[in-house]
Amino acid sequence: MNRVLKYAWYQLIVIIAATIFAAVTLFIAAKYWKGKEFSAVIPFCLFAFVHFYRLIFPLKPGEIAFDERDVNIKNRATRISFTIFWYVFALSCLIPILVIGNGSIHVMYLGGVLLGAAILTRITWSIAVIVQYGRSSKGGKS
Amino acid sequence: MNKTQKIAWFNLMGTLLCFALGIYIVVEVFILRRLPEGFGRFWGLPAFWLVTGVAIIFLRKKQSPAEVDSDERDNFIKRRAVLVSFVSVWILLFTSSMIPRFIVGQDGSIPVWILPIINLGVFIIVMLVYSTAILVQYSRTGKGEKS
Repeated sequence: MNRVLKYAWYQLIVIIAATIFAAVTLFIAAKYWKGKEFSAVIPFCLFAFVHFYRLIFPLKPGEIAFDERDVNIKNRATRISFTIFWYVFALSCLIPILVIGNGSIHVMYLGGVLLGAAILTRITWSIAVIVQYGRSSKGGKS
Repeated sequence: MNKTQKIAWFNLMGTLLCFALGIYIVVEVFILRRLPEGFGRFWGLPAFWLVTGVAIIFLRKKQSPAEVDSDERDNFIKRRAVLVSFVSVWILLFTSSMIPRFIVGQDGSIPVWILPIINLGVFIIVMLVYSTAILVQYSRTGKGEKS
């Protein structure tokens, strides 16, 4: 499997697993740990594993990290994730006005938008890379 | 000046116009606490149409009939500018999510109408960064500067 494609799969799996872990941890903390001290780092610690790819899968001798085609695929994936990010960001700013009207919203909502946008961008990027390699059979070979 | 540079210049002018309009509205409505009167009410509209009109005329006018819309170098410059603006989005989003927390506190709340302003503000600054990144890259290499 191509290294960029492998990274896309790795990132997708890590992000989905970390999101599920964060959701379950926050649910448990809200239901059974209410009122007690709880570090906000715990639910989101798994997201850090995205950056450990080079440590877990180091570049083998003679292995090429990426070529011209990989760069094109990565650039296109970045553009796609950037576009989707803008639509979601605009919607997340407009929907509260439509729902709440002339009210106010908790300050942590902006942090939630930031986190949600980061997760969505990573997922979209990974899917865009996987789909682009899937279209051409060359990238699928191991 | 090629088409990519022209678009970058008009993007820059458009975003600066939006910036000026935003500052004018903030000063009039929130600081001086009054609604704009006379020409102050609609100056943004003719300014917008002026920039759009000039942009259409200049973009249609080519250096020569054989001029291409964009070549490999233009695409490379645009791709790099997109990456720069992508990074700037994250910095801006992080900043805009942290500043309100320092102002109203961890458990505070913010008016809902601030969200579209943040959205628009981030968009304007990102367009500014994108246009500037394109123009800076062209200015580093002399080729694109010819008109």
